[in-house]
Amino acid sequence: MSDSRDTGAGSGLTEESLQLLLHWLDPDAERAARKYEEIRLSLIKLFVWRGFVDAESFADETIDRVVRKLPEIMPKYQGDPASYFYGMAKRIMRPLPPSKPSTLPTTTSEEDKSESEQMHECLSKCMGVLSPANRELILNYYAETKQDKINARRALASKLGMPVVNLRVRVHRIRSALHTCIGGCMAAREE
Amino acid sequence: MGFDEAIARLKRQSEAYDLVVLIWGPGKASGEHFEKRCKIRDEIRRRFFNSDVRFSEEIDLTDDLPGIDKHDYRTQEMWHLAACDICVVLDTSSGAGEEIAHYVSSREAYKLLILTHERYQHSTNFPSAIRRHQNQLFYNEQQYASCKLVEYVLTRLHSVALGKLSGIRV
Amino acid sequence: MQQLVEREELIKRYLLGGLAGGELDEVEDRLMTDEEYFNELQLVEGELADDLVFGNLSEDEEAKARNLFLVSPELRQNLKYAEVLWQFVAETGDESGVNTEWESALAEAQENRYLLATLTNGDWAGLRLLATAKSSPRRKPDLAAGTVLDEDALTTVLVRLIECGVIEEQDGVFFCTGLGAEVLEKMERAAGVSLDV
Repeated sequence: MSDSRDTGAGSGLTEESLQLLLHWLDPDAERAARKYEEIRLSLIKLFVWRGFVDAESFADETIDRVVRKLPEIMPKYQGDPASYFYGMAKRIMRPLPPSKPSTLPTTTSEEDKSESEQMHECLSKCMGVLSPANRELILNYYAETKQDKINARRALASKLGMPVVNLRVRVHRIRSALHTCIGGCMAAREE
Repeated sequence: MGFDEAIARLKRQSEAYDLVVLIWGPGKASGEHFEKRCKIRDEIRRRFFNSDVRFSEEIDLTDDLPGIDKHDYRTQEMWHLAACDICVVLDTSSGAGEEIAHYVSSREAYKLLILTHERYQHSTNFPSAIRRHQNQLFYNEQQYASCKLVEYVLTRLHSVALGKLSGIRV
Repeated sequence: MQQLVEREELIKRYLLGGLAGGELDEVEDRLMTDEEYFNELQLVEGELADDLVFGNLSEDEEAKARNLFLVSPELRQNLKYAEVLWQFVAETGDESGVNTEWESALAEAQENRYLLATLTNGDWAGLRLLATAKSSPRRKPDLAAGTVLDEDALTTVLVRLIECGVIEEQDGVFFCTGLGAEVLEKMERAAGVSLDV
């Protein structure tokens, strides 16, 4: 199971408490590991969408607090454990205002330009990795849905013989694939 | 069962799948092109040992479809296409497009694998979608003379067999 | 369809910080407990980046969206990707072709062939990666452990698996999707094998 945190010193999560948590999530180890990752990622996104910088730390804090409560709640809690995590996250969020984006690092316009150029080159390369059909779809989608998005999507979906929701999901997957590819390409350039 | 063993079994089963394969293309009078067609057929039979590989001209459906012989050849070939898993078309002449245009716009078109000489790459025999969705591939002289062409076909058949085995439309 | 539009509006309001009280709790509890709903939020978030880049938002929405996309490195990156993609499209031009229901059958068959080729190329490396991701979500180095793929090749296979919708990446962790599990299950059932790693 993948977890960016150690379970060693400095973290609230010991190996023992992690195992207890996993067991609470699901008696099957594989399913439990998956649920843990899903919950952690959902918590991170939750904090991001609520405007908290360093969302990972808040997500980990949430998990740590839930784990400390486990001996108390395990015998009696009924319901989806994910909901309990949400309740704990709310308690953490309540007293804190979200961080302001102006505290984020800034870059010079030269650095921005250089990064954009590199990204453009990587995107060009990554478009070549896509299947021809997906390449064409994403280009059509972005060319045609500039304005009047709803009608344009409907028209494109109709042309392709698929429901609009399927088109959006497919575009989302292609976008996601491109992000992964560009990320890999940019990382390789930095090495 | 280990993962490697599972993959090996999957490979064996897809190669054992009883594919129904049609091969269209130049007739006996065309000499080396007909030989190429025969070579493709023989290689498919060798690699996919349970497959039923035929030329349309070898097929007689009158037992299963009485009266089919009263229909024109185009209709009969549509039946062949409907019944097969994949139809490999060895397209060696500029006129071939007209001959199979009817099938290319049918609902069975996804089963076609049209192999066309690259000199005809800029012709407009088929809708561009056929090329876009890789139902038409282009070969050069060297690929034709070597095993490359046969490899294209076998690679496609491999996907088709695995798709058929797994219940995935290919 | 109307429900879908209403749901999307609600999600958009949530992402732009426009929900409170019971509505807010409901959306957030659901995103924690309902995987599909969580995916829908991610989808709308991606489309919001496009809207922001293309000026399809009101002034007020634009300000809120900028705040959203500046919060985390990942979202800042996604916004940059959206900008670069729009620029690329503008330079490349559209490639619309003839699209009919007939073509959707061709497209479906090709997508599936592409998926199967992605799974089986390179000694079935794609299938191995998919099965590994299904056993538990992993980061790249852990995924690569069972294969002989170098970094470039691994990225290419992963990108293709994401393209086919059988794997998704979130925050550097790769998951097997429902579709991926379905494909594995079909192969297992058909061949009478277990693809557990």
